[in-house]
Amino acid sequence: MKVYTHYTVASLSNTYLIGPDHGGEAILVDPGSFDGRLLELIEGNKYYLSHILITHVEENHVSGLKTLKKIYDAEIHAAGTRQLYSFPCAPVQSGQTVKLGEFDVEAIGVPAHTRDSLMYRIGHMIFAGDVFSAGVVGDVPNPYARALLVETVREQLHDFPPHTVIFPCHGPPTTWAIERASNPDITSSAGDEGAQASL
Amino acid sequence: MFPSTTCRHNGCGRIALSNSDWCSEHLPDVEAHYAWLKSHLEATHVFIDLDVAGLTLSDLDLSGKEFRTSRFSGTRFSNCNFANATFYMCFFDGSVHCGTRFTSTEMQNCVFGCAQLIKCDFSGSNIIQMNFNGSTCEQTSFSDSDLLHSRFIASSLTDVDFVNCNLKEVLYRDSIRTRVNFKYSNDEDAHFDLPEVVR
Repeated sequence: MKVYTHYTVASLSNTYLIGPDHGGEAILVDPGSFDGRLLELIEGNKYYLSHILITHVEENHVSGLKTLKKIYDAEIHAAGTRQLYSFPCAPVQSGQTVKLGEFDVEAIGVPAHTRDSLMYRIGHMIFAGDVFSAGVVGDVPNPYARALLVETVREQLHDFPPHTVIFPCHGPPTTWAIERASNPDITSSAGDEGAQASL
Repeated sequence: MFPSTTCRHNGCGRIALSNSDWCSEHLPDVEAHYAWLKSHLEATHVFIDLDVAGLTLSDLDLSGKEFRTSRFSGTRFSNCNFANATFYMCFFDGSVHCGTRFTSTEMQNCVFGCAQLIKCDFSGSNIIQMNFNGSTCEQTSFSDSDLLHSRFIASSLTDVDFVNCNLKEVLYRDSIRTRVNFKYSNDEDAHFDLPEVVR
């Protein structure tokens, strides 16, 4: 399994291309944009784009769909919507595991950043979207949502092996071990205090 | 991405090393593996999916080499030279470095989270979107480097130089900084406090 990062300067966000070692059916996570470099990444590695995973529906996660869908007949997977830019979406629910190409993809619901926020687990890797990134939990509208997000992340990832690699939409990759040791939001009880303050 | 074959030792969940069915702790023939590794490192220029997690590497000259999606988690480095090397999405989490030279390197999306960096030199490098969260850096230089979007959240920095660096969107939240030199750098573009704007 190979993972490639494509960086969108306009939205400072990462798109991830996941495929087998030697070409074949590939998956794209959160196409925030489409440009020649992404096309080169797909074609240069002998991939055919079969599936597109959306962690949540925001412009900087889906803008690339408009061009991508003109080139590839890829199936879009997202929660909370059945249509994006007039393209049909396969609905995804938290806890669901689907076979996409040669990969088993598990959807993990973390409704706090947005109501439809999902993370996707493929093997020992998690594609976290905006749920959290290295050292920081995601952007949320109020302290209660922040506490909910921190608690949900702790619960959902609690049993994952420490070497689980996390690929966020913004910023560098990380591991669950690093987050447990050094993410101030996850290590402290700040989230809980925020919830109590707001209640 | 690095393979996720687990160590053959009963009950061990660690990822197996390159060219082995075992992790560093359960290697049956340590000397033979080090002998293979030494010749492999000398003979090869581009390393993809190399896994040397938990091993000890001393007095190696790996200057100018290229490492992609390789795993150095928990590896101990002593007096190694990576000058002018290229690193893409490599994992050095929990690694220990004493006197490692990373001068004039190209690094992108690599992870040094919870690593210990003592008397290391990253000067003159492109250190783009890197994760140094929870790391301990002592007597280490990042001077004359571009650290765009890198993170030092909850890190401990003592006698560390960031002289003449690009610190655009570098995150130092919750870091402990003692005798850290930001001379001639745009530290006004870095983030030191909460709340963080991640995007």
